[in-house]
Amino acid sequence: MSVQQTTDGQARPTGQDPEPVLEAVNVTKHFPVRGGLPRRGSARRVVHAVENVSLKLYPGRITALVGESGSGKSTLARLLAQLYPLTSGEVRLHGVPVVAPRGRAFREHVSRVQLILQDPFGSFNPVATIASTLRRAAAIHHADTDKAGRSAVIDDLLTQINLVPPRQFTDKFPHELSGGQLQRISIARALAADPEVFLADEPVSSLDVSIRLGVLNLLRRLTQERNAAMLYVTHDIASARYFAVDTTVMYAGEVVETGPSEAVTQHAAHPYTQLLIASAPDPSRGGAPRIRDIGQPPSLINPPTGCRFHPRCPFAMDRCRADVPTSFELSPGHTARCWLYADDQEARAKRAENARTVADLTTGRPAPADPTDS
Amino acid sequence: MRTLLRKFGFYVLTAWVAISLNFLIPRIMPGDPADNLINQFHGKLSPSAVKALRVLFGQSDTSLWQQYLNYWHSVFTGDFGISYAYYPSSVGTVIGQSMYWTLILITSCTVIGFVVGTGLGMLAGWKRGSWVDSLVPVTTFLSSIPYFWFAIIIVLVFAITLNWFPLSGGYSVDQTIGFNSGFIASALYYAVLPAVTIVITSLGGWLIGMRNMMVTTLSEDYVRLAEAKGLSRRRIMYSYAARNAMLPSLSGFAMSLGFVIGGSIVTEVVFNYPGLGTVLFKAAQAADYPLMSAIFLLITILVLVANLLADIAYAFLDPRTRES
Amino acid sequence: MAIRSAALAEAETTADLVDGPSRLWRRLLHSPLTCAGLIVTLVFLVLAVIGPWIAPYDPSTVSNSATAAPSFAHWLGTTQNGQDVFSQMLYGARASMLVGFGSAVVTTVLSVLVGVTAGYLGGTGDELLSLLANVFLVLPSLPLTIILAAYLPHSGSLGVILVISVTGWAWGARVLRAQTLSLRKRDFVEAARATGEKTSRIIRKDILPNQVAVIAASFLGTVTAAILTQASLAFLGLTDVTQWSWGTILYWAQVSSALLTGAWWWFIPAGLAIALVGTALSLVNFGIDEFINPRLRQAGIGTKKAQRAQVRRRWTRRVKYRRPTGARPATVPFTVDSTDVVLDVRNLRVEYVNGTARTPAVNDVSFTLRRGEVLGIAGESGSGKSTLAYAITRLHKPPAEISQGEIVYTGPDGSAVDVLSMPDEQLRGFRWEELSIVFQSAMHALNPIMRVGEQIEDVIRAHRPGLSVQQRAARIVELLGIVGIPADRAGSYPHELSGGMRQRAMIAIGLALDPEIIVMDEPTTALDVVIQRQIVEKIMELKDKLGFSVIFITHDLSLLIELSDTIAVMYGGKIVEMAAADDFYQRPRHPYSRGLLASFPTLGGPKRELTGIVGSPPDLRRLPTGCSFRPRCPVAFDDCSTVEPALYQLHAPDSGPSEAACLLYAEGAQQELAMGEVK
Repeated sequence: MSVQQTTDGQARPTGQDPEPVLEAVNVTKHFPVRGGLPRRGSARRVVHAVENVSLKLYPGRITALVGESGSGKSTLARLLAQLYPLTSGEVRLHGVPVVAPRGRAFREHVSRVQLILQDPFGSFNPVATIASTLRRAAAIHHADTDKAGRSAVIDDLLTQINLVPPRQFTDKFPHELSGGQLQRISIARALAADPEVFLADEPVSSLDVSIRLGVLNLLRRLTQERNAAMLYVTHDIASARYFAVDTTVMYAGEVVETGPSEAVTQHAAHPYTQLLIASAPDPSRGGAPRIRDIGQPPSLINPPTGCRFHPRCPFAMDRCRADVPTSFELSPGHTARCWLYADDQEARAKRAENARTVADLTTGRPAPADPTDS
Repeated sequence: MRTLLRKFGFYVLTAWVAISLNFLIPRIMPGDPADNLINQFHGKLSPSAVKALRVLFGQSDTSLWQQYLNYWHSVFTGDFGISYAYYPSSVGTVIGQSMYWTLILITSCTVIGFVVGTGLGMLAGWKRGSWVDSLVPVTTFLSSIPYFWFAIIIVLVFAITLNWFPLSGGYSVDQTIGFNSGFIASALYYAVLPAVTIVITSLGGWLIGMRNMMVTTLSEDYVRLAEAKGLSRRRIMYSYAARNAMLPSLSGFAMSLGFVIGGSIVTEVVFNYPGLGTVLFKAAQAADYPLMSAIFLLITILVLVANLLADIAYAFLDPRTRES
Repeated sequence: MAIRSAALAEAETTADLVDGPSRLWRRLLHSPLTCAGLIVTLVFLVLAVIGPWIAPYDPSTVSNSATAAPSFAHWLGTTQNGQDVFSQMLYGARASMLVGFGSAVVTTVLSVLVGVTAGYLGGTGDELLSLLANVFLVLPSLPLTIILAAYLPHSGSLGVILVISVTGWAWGARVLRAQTLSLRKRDFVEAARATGEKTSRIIRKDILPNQVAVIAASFLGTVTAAILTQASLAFLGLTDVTQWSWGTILYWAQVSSALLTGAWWWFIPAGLAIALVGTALSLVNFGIDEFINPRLRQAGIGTKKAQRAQVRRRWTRRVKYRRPTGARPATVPFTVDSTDVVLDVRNLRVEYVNGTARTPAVNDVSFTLRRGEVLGIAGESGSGKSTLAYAITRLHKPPAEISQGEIVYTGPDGSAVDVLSMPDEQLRGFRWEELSIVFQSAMHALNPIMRVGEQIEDVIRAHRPGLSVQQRAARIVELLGIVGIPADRAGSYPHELSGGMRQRAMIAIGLALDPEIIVMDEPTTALDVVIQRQIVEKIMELKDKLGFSVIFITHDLSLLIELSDTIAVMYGGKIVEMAAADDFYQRPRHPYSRGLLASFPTLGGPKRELTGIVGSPPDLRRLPTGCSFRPRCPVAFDDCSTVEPALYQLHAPDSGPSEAACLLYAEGAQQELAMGEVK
C-alpha cells in the first residue's frame, strides 16, 4: 500500500532550513479583462492579480498565506497547483522549474501537489456518492490497483482522516454529510495522490467555529506524519499564528511581510499587517488601539504606483508613492516590504511614530477563567 | 452605451448572416429548382425573367464573388426581381402591398400579448398558490395549440356559427384603401379575429416566463427587505419584484418573438389576411423563390429591429448593463 | 414556451442541484400535474407505435360515406373522400411523434455538443460558437424553416427533422452553455481538475450528470416545438402531403374547406391532439423547472394564505399601537442594570411545517432587549439564529410558522404592543418606524435596479407622506453622511459600490426613520476583517449618538464579545446561555460556550491551548434527547440524556447575574458533585 509507505517520515525539520519542496520565484499573474474591445493606443487591460511573488514551502512545515479577498492569495495557490499558466516567473518543484499546463505533465505535477478547496459543500459532485468521487481519485493515482485494491485504498483514506467505520460514509451523497465531514473527505481525496505538498485554500473558513479546530489539527497531523509541505491560505491571521510555522501576508497581489508566525503576528512590521491585526475581532486583547482606516483595497486593473498600500497608509512618505519598496530584514527570516525600514532620517522618524501607534496592538488581557484549572 | 453599440454591431452581423444565407440557400440546395420553375410556366416567362431566375440559383457565367456583389446591389436597391406567384408583378410591389398589414397587425398583437401576458404572469407569481395561478395550465394549453388551428376554431365559432365577424380578408371589398374612416373601421373590424388569435396563443409563453421569474424573484432578499421596510404591497410588487422579474423576459425576447411571428404568419393564411404570411404561403405553394427570400429578409430585419428595441428597453431597465 | 426556458436559463444560476437524477424522477412523480403530463405523453407515444396496426381502416382508402359525422363505424367521422379520420389520426400520430422526438434527439445532441464544448473550453472557440448560436436564435426560425422546406419539396419526415434541427439547435445550446459555464466555475469541477482528472472524464462525470434536468427540459421543449412546426409546414403544404400526419390532416381539411362545410370532426381532433401533447410535455417541464429551481414551489407573498400561515392565530389582548408623534425623547446611555425594556420576547417557538411534521427551529426562546442595549446572539449553523431574526420582524416565510410566544414592543412613550397580533396595516407602520433590519448580504438585499438614494427615499415616502421632495432629499444626504458615504453616491446603483459601501448603505436605510431597534443579521460576515472593523465601529458610534437598541446576530463570538452588552448563545434552537458580555468572556458557564471560546485563536498575549469541541452541530430535525449538546459535551452525565435542562439563574459572587441551560447548574448536590469531579 503506497498510501502507508510515507507515513514513516516523522522527522521534523530542525535547525537550518532544508531544501524547499515547492517554490514560487517572482511569480506574476495577470488576468485579461474580458468584454469590451481593446481601445486603440492602449494595451489590453489586465487584472494584476499576483505581482512578483516569491514563496518557499518546506517539508513537514505549514506556511500560512494571509490576505483579504482580492489579495491574490487563492490565485497564488492555484498557480502553484498549475491550474493556471503563469504570466511570468517560475514554479519550482525540488528546484526544477515546472511548466505543466495540461496532459501527462500536469497530472504528474498534481500527483505531488494537491489543492484542497474552501467550500466543502461545493467541492463534491452533488450527484455522485462519496465512494465514486474517491474511487476516481484513487483510479488516477493508484492506476495499477484493481477494484478491490481501490476499495481498500478508499477505506484506508477514510480511516486516516478519522471517518470510521469507512463503510458508513462511502455510500452517502454529499448533501447527506456535514460540512466538517465533507472537508475531511476532501482532504482524503487529496491524500489519495500521496502528495508532497498540500495547498489548502481557506480549508476551514466555511466551517462552523466549533469544528474548525478538528480539521486544522487533522491537517497538521498529516503534514507532520508524511513530512509533507503545506500552504495554508487564510484570511484569519490569528489562526495563522496558531497553526503555521511561517506566515506570509499579501496585499493587492504583492507580498508585504513574511516571517515566523509569532514574529509576524506579535511584532507586525508592515502597516498593512498592523491594520489587519488591529481589525481582527479578538476579546483577548485589552483596549488595543484602533487604527483609523477609511480606505479599501485598490483596483487591480490600475494598481497604485510604488507601494500598493500607500493610499491607505497613515505613514506614507513620498518615496512610497514613487518606488516599489524593497525587502528589509528585521530579524532572522522576518522581512517587510516597506520603506519605513529604510535606513535614513525620514524613515527612522516615521518608524518611531509607527512604533508608538502600535505599541499595545497585541497586549493581552487576562485570559478567561478556564474550568480545567483553578 | 458601449453595450448597446456592441448589440447594434451584433445585429448588423446577424443581418449580414441572414442576407448571405439567403444568397447561399438557393445555391446549395439539391435538385434543379430553376428548371422546374421555368417548365411550370410553359414558356410564358419573358427571357429576362428566365435569366433572372437562373441568376437567383447561381446558374450564371460570372464568378460566385461577382454574383454575391450583384446580390448585395439588389438588396440595397430593393430589386428582388419578378414574382412568379403574382406574375408579372415585381416582388417589391407585392411586398409593398402586403407589408403594412402584417406590420401593424403583428406589432400591435405582440405588444398587447407581451403586456397582458407579462401582467398576468406578474399576478400569477405574486399570488402563487391562489386562483390566479390556475391560469397557468389554461394558458399552457392555449400556447400549445397550433396558431392556425386555433384560428380555424375562432373562425368556426365567431365567423361561421355566430356570424359576428367576417370570415376572411383584411377589409370590406366595398371600401377603397386609403386614409378614410370607412376603410379604417373596416380594417379594424376585419383584424379583430386574427388579432385575438395571435394574442391569446402568444399569451401563455409570456405569462409562464414572467410567473416563474416572479416567484423566483419573490424569494430574493431585496423583496424581503422591501417588506421589512413597510412599503405598500403595490410598491413591492411593481418596483421590487416585477421590474426585476421582467428582465429575463426582455432578454429572451428574440426567441419568443420569432415564435410569435412564425405563428402569426400561418394564422394569416387561415384568415386569408392580405399580409406577408398569406403571400409567403402563396409563394411557397408556387415555389416563388424570389418572393420567399425577400419576405424572409424583410421578416428578419423586422425581428432584428424589434430585438434592438427590446435591448434598449433592457438597458433602460437594468442599470447593470449600462456600465462600460 | 421559448420564453419559459429563457427564464429557466436565468434561474439555473441559483439552482440548488443537490439532488441527483434519480431524485428527479421521484420528484416528478410526486406532482399530480406532472404525472398527468407524463401519462398523456406515454399514451400518445404508445399510439404512435401501435397506431397503424390498430387502425380500423386504411387512412387513404376512399369510401362512399363522404363527409360523414362521427358514428359507430367512423369514430371521428370521414373526410370529403370518405376516408376514416380516426385511422388518419392513428397513422398521423406516428409521423408527428416521429418528427417531434426525432427532431428533439438531433437538436439536443447538437445543442449539447455545441453548448458544452463552448461552455467548457471557453476562449475564442466559445466566443465564435456562442456568436453563431445567438445569430441563429435571432433569425426567425419558422420563416427560415418554410424557405428551407420549400426548397426540399415533398420531403418526408427525415427532411423535416433535419430542417427543424438546423434552425432549432441554438436555443438549447445557449442554455447549456450558460449552465456549463456556471458548473465549470463550481468547486467540484476545479477539485476534479486539481486531482488530475482528464477533461473528457470531467465533462462526462461532472458536467453532464448535473445537467440532466436542463437537457431534459430542452429536449421536451423541442419536441413540442417540432410537432408544432411540422404541423405548420404540413398545413402550408410544404411537406409530403400524401404522408399522413396531424398536420397533413389539417392541410386536407383546409384545402377541402372543411370549415365551410361544417365538418368540424375533420380538423378538431388533429389540433386537439397536438395541443394535448404540447400541454402534457409542458406540464412535465414545469415539474423539471421546479426541480431545477426549488424556489418555484414556494407560495407567493401576495396571497392571503401566505399572510395567514405566518402566525398561528390565537386569542391575544390587542394593545393599541400609536404612531409616534414628534421627536423621540433623548436617550440615556445604556447601563447593565437598566430595566427600560424595549422588546420582550417570550417563549417564542418557530416551527418548519412539512405536512404533519413540525420541526422547531426556535424553541421556547425568551429574552429582553433594553433601550440602548446591544444584545449579541451567537450561534452556529442550525442554531436557529437566523430564523429568530426573521421571526422577530415577522419576515419568516412558509413553511416557517410561529406557533407560540409573544413579542412585546414598548415604545418610548410607554405604550406596549404584541408584534405577533398586529394586523397587516399596523404591522406595515410598525416595520422600519420602530424596528429595522440589516441583512447579511447587502449585495442581495439591495434592489439591483434602483438607485441607492431611491431605496432610502421610498421608505421615507411610505412612512412620512407629508415630507416634501426637498425634505426627503435633505434626509437622504444626511443619512448617507452619517454612515460615511459621499452624498453624490445617492445616484449610484448597488453594483457600483464596493462591498463595504453597500453595507453602509444598508445601514443608512436601516436608520432612515430613526428606529428604536435595529436587528442585524450577520451584517459583516461577507466582508473582510478590515472593512468589518470599519462597519462595526460605525455602528457603535451611531448607536451611542442615536440611542437605538441593537440585536446583533452572528456566528463570530469574539466579535460579539467586543461589541455587545449582553450575549445570548444559541444551540439547537434554544438559548443555552445568557450573560453580560464581559462576565461571559471571563466566566463562560455552559460547556458549549466554554468550548466555543476555546476554539478561537487569539492574537493578544501568549498563545493559549485551543481545545475546540468534538462532533458537529446538530441537525434540527434529529435533535438528541435531553440536552441537545450532550453528544459533544465533555462533562455530560447520565441525566443529560433524559432531562431537558431549563435556563437556570446563576449568581456568582464575582460576576453579574447570568443564565445557563445546563444540568450542572440545576439545584441539588449531585450536580455540584459532578461539577467538582470535572474540576
